[in-house]
Amino acid sequence: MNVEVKVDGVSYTAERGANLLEFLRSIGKDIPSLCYRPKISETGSCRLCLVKVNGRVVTSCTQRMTEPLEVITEDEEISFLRRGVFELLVHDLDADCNNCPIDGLCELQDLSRKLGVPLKKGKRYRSIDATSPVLQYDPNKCVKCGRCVKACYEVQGKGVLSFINRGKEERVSAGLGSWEMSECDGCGECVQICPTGALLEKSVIKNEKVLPFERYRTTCIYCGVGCQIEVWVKDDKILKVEGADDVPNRGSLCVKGRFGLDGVLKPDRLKHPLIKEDDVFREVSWEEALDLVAQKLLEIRNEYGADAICGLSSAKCTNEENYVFQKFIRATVGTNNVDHCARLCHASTVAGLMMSFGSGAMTNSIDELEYTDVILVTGSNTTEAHPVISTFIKRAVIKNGAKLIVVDPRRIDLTRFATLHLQPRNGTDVAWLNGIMNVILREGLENKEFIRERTEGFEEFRAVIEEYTPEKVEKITGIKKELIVEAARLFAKAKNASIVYAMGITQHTTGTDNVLSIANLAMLTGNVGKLYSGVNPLRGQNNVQGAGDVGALPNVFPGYQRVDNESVRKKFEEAWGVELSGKPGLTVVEMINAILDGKVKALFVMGENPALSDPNLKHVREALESVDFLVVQDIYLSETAEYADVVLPACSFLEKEGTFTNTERRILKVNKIFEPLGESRPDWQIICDISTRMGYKMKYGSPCEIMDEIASVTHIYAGFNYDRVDEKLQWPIWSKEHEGTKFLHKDSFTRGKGRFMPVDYIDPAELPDDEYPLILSTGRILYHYHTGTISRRSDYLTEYINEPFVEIHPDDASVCGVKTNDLVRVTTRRGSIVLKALVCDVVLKGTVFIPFHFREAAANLLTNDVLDPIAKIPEFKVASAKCRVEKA
Amino acid sequence: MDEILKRYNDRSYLIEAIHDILDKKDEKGLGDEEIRKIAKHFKTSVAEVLGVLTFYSMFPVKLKVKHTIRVCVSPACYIKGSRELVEFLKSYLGCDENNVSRDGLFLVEEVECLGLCDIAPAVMIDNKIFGNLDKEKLKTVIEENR
Repeated sequence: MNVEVKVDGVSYTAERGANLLEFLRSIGKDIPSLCYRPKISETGSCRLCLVKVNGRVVTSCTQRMTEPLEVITEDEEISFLRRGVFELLVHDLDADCNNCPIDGLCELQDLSRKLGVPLKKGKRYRSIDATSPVLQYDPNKCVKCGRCVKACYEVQGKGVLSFINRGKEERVSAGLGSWEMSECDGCGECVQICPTGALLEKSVIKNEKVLPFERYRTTCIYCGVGCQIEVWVKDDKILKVEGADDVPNRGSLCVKGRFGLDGVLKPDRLKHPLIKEDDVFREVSWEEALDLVAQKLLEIRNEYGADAICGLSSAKCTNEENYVFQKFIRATVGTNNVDHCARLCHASTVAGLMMSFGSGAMTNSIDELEYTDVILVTGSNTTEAHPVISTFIKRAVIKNGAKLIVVDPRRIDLTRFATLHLQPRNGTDVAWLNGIMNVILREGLENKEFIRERTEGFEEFRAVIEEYTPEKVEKITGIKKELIVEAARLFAKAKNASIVYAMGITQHTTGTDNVLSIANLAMLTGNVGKLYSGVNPLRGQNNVQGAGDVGALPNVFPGYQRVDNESVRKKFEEAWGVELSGKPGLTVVEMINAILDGKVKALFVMGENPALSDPNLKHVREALESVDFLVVQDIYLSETAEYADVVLPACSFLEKEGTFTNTERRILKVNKIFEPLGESRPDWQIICDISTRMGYKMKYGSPCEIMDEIASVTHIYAGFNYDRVDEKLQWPIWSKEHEGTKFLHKDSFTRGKGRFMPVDYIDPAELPDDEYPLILSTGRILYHYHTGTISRRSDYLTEYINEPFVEIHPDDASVCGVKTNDLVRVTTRRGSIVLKALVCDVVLKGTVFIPFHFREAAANLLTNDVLDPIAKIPEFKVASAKCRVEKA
Repeated sequence: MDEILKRYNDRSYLIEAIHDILDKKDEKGLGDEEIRKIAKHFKTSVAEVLGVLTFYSMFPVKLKVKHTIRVCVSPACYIKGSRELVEFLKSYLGCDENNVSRDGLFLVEEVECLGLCDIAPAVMIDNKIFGNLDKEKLKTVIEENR
């Protein structure tokens, strides 16, 4: 529906109900404004966007075009009013532009020029709040537009900020008055939206002037969301990072992406190849290092066969590098022993969703979550592990009235927004999922048409579900049966419902079963294959989706094409011009075991850190110690690199080109911003050189050429090349004309019909007993990432948290006599660590939680390396443990 | 406090709830823990509760003082010399930048109309009213209420 709008005498048609200010700007009218931003709700408080509508002066930002309007955008009266308003706004301001770092980039300066009202240096009588580790608030430069307050609540769902006091003492305040003590987690949404120098990054304040500087677009490396960032560079240093107003993050970032990238460029980066001699590393030339690696690998292959060599590819590296790496292991070495850390996070997703749907990735896009009616979040502490995705979920609740169901043993941040919070005992996911489905079937809430038309295997599935009555499920899971019924009704009756999950579902011996159950629930209610509804596993690392897509997995070639399929193998043999193995290779944990069994003699690790990330570390470290030849290619001397025979310095994502595929299957560009540090080189070049030395020539001019080769052998990437990189396409991209796929399984599932898989509940491998009475679970925290190789080098992130801790329930704490900050020893059957206690009711009684980022108390010394039989994912989330106070 | 909060469930009753809670207490303002509790009850942020508390000058602030002196600076009192009273009080009590007296007993606040224009210039010390003041009278009142 359109509406007639006459602007300064010229007629236009506009969309009925649209915002007048946005419309005027879209037709080229330069209307000043301060408090208005498209991202937040309009206030109309700064009154700079005044225009005349039908002769009346109104704020255009709050005017909706619901009927025909006659608008005058500027006349003498309007100019007079705007100038007057601006004079009042800035009258009590200390506009000391000469001494302000953002002089020349300030919105207020622009407005002052436009309106012809000069800014003046004023009195500074309000105190600065510089207590935040990452930002500073100077109320003397604050115009009280309220953008930061609104951004904090409406965009980030945090509501940390508010105005306090009134009159000339009015100021923005965080929490109870100081940024440091508040709940502020440093996402910096407020800094980015501030129109003046009132809120500034601490990294910016260090500079006298920000101008001149350069700005580069790239993709963040801190998780699978793939936030688009703009890196501001001055004098070859990162000045600051801003969120780009683009998919998928729409300008938002988290504390890691905005303030933690300094950890990439620290002076202890690896700058030269190293060879270990007599337990000491010696700097060597590239020639020497590459020759040695090639020669050693050839020797081992000749003596023990190709299967004695294993490669760990990297979810941190680009698609192009992962492709080159798996090709190197398959074509050059001649084995399928290539895997990467997806094995430790979403192997069960790939396995499970492949069986149910035929493809293992997020079915929907991130931005759809904001418009979903019911969101079920389980096993995902979204706020901490995928902070920007959590903002979409929070906005769905705050802005669009969505209902949120959180099923998580821990009382995570999202529970503040939840309609229902179900707290199951760790590792009982199949039971509660079956329970919910039992209620849905009993009450006839299933989507019969969807089941009939789109699925198979329903009857067999129904027979299993019938046994999981809410009463039985309450016994297994500890969730009250009323809650199960309520959750089932809420989910099943939703117009559209989406399931969001992560490691809490996958990292179990029953990981694949859990995923199958989730797929069952989605199919039972018909919530898959349509906009806003689906099954959405959140991928943990920046390119864990892409690494799997391009074949860094032991059982599949690029595009999830099975290695044991004759015709597929023929295709790749033809493409790569070499004979290939049809025997599926070893997975991450199997490689470690095979080393200790003496079957594997060489391990090539590119950008991974198994010495901290893998379960049962003592066992892993023994393997790394004992393997004949270990090559580690990384940007820092990681815990794993310390065991290496040869260390190859790779350059970071800031120093190379390529693409990452984010969790929603979107292919995003990584751009080179800095020259490689020291002698470091992009991973793909290093691998190509080794391969060529080993007799299989690999030569590419650029990552662009590699992508062309990927597209030629990977059907889901077929239509992609670097010319289309700005389109930010989501795979599958079938052809050069195809526009990518926003959500999967629209008319039919990838495998044809969706398949119900009947799943029975099985206990976790280890249950608490008299000796080890607690359940240990591990996971991430907001301020650190994976093994901390980068995040723990950041000056800013480490100010928030830089030491390990264990969360323990007050009831258990009193039994063991533990108080917060006491040093406690946590022990499992595999190991024991000492760390500080944090007594809190975030965890369920009987459970403890330890983040796995900290090498000084590595949680993975404790975790159980027992595997899911199908996906071979270890059980990181359940181990039985005991806890006692350690006398210092 | 829990009893009072139970009576109010909607965010729009935040101010009433704060009034009731303060009425039950001696005038000491709300502590951080109490603010947190109120925020949690009304499902809002602590910053917002603090914003409301500090917006209305009749709500005592968190500073730990024994007495709050509120000096009206609205037109009637202003004309009758309340500005001088404020300056006198600050120097007599030796107030710091937060307007707390040197001995920590008093907080001096400038407030809008107290509705006591008939006895301007007027001052409230805690809940007591004093009018028709000049510096000498004010000094006596202060000493009597120490």
